[in-house]
Amino acid sequence: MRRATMMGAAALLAGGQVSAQQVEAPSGQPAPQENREMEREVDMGGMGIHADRTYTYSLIQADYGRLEGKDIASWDAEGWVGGDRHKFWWKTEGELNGPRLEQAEVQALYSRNIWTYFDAQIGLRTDFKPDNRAYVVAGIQGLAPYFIETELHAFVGLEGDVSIRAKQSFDLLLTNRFILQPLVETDFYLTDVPERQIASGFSVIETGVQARYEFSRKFAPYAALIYERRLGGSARLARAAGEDVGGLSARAGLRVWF
Amino acid sequence: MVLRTMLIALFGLLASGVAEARTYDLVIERQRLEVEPGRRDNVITVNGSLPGPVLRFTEGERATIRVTNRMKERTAIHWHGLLLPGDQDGAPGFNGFPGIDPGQTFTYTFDLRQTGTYWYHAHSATQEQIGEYGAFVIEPRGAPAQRVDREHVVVLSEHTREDPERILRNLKGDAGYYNFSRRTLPDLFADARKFGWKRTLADRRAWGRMRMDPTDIADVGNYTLLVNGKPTAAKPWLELRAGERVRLRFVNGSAMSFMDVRTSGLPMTVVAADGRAVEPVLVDEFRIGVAETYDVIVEPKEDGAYPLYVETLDRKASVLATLASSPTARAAVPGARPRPVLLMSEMGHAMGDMAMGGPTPAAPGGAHAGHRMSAAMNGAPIAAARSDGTDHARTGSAAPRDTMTDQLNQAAARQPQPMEEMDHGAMTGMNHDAPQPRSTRSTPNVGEGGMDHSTMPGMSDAQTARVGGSDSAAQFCAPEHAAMGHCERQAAAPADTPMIGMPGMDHATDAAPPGAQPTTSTGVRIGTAVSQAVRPAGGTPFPTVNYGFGADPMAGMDMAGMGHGGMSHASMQGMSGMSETSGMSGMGMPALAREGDLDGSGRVFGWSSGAPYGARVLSVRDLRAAEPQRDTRAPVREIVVKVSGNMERYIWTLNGAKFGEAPPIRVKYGDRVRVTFVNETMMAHPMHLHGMFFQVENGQPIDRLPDKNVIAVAPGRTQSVLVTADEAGEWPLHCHLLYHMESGMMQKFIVATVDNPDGTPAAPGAHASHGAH
Repeated sequence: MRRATMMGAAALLAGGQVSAQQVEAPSGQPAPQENREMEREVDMGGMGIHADRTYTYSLIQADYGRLEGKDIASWDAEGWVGGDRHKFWWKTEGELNGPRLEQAEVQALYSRNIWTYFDAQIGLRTDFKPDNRAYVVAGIQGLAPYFIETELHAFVGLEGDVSIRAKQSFDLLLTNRFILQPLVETDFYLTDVPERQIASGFSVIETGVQARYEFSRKFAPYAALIYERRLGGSARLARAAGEDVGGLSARAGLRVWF
Repeated sequence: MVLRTMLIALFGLLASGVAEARTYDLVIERQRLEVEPGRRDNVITVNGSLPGPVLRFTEGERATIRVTNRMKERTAIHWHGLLLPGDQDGAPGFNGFPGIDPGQTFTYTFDLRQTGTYWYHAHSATQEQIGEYGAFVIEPRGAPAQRVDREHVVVLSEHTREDPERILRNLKGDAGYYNFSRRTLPDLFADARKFGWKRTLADRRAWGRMRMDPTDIADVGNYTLLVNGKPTAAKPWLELRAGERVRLRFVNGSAMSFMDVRTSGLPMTVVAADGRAVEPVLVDEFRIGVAETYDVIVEPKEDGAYPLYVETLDRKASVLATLASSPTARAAVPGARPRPVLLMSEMGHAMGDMAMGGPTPAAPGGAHAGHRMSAAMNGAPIAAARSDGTDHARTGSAAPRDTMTDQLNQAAARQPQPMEEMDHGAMTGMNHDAPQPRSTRSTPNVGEGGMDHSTMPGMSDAQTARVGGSDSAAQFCAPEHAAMGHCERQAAAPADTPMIGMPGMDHATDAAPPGAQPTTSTGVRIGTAVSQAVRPAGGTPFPTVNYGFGADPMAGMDMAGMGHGGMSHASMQGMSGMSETSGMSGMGMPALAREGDLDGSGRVFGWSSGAPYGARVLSVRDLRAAEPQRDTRAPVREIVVKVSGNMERYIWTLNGAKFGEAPPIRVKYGDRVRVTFVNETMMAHPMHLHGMFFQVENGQPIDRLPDKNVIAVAPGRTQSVLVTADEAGEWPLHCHLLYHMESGMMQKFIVATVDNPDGTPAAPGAHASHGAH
């Protein structure tokens, strides 16, 4: 399929100019179908016509808000390149607290459609903040019953830390353009990560609701109320280190996809 | 604008000494054209126009058509519905046809062996969407069957300002990209007010569990409909004078839109479908699937401005043309129709597996199995029955007997109508105590009591068996039976369809004049899609409409196909398989309302709903070949084509496989086969076979089954056709919704004298039913 696409692209490039060349028509009485017709195996067209295409999708959300009297800004973006079954996914998210970059990560994943509505994903994650760390990622992403967007990933750090992240969201249509999106995301650690003030167990929860207005599907400003807080042992460690455990923030942002 | 380069040349007799020849030159190019007044959009033109010129030929001529590609990409023109050698068919990748490279000219040559209304269109990427299409008309050599004073070709199509490749990308990114009619929170409250919270929430839960959207009527939006290239704003006009007999050759040349065609106040007599003559059927309106053609005759008694109003099923796009003697006359838009919303019950068997919930792992090694809708999972009813590759169609028929009765019972239990309204035919099927030979199990027609059909000349069991579980006794009375006095058709066909306003609809429908007599005086049959003249007491605001786009397999009443000799054992096995996989549990699904009811927000339930009581509407069941079929043999095997997909990811498949993922379907030259389309999706799919007509098993007598080349299969429905494989070649079998085809909904259908490359005989079940496993 990939081959066919490339050939199609090549044909497209090659055919740049108009020529007056005439192709001789096949004879008016074509030969009846013979064995050779049978020998031709399934041919996707081989010429970039009726062949699989490679698609791209990118979704970017960025917002600005106030948390406990401080300015915060965050981004959350993801996208893919590929076909129906095989895709390359990329994801990045991060947060600035005031001028300080507090958290930043990037993931690169191979994604394969395994169930009707779900992909299995495997790849790498790199954190730049709060410290440099790399992880191997494995998980699933897709659409659960009741149209719940669902992600579940396990991260195995090269330094031995292991965590699981679950993420769900849902679209509630007030109108066909004004959409409320409740969301929840949580990290569960199987190990302690003292450098990050993380104790095993649930370490953080982010939940809230985003209200967006889709001027078009691809352009939607939004406002969001997000409650983000460290949990349990991680919260105690953070407090001990003199850090915030988090709280409620109001944000305004923009969601675009292309 | 480019000069019109169309040349028509008439040569003398060719060396062959038989065919006259007519030659056209077609030039394909991209340009900006003013389709909508006041703006220029990127389109593809054929000889500078959109649509392309009407190509007119006479039966028996040799057509020579030189197609020059002046675009920077490859293209291909396909001659839709024509009988021709495979390498002239114009589908790239088939029969060695490579497509037409940029700057090249390809000369198509073929002899015309048929008459009627056809069309041509790009069969290459998404080029068809933006203008690469036109009508293809073949006049009979002798006297025409229908003498007319005037004729118009009416090409219905869509215009979009978007790049069609972008449309496909948008759908892949978000399958609901163009649907701005989804059910909202206010709709939830409105439904709860009307139906109660319990039922409303049960309904929402059921759809949510399936991850399906009942408002998904059309995939693509932002269309402007065109009549011969003109939107409403350009005031399309078709000349018509009182006293004339006028033929309108309708072609649905759109990429994605089923359309409802109405000529208010000017009844139409359908005389041909997909190019083939049919016995006349009088209608006020018809639903035309993508790529279908219909010829109708209109005979205006008085001068006036008659509207030709065409709208898409989601009611988002429409076009009004005026039929009048003067170009300045302007007809008024007839009453609006409500937007449909799908009913859970329409999903038929497809919802069965859904009830089991949860994603199911793909079969090992069947990489793409995961793409299929859940309905196809775990045992995929029909496929499972055939996965051993043997030809069940020819094996014994005793085994599934009891299961079949169960199915009927359960199906009947699911019918929303009270028992006294139930189709008697179904009850006959249900109440068998002892096994009987199937030939006697046909369903007596409703309203005919215990009539013995065998005494009625020319009426086979198949004919009287009625498809469609929604037919109730009160509803169904075919005009021809009425004429025989077997039943009373109350129908009456008002001269005009009542105006229906969105809010006060319940009252508006009562406006249909009651009690007029059926129009049988001239012997012309009346369209039967709507069988009720007036709203009965306790009836829904809108009648159930049976367009004949397949039968509900779970209603268990598709006896039409079963009455024939080569009966589809496979489908019966499929049904038994279904109950094993608890498919029937789906029957317990909450039905929020009946077909024809309105939801809390004024939408009408049912894919086919919307036409008012008393409207004379064409059903595919009404189509009866004007000439007897030459081939009435029983099929030697059945090829089941499961029409499936994953709407959320916009992946569309046949038998679970995208084009190229499964081996082709192979049919031996000269064989007669039944192809049964099982629609497991919630969209209607116009299924098209190149190179040959098929006979639609629509309940008409076997020798009068209508020829078609496109058959629409409604959501959750099953429809079978008979193919006489007398055209050798590699033929595309595909859904004619452009973006479905481009997303994989196509299969290669090979007709050849040799079965397999290695000389072994074909193993019918192997490719036919389930390539994915």
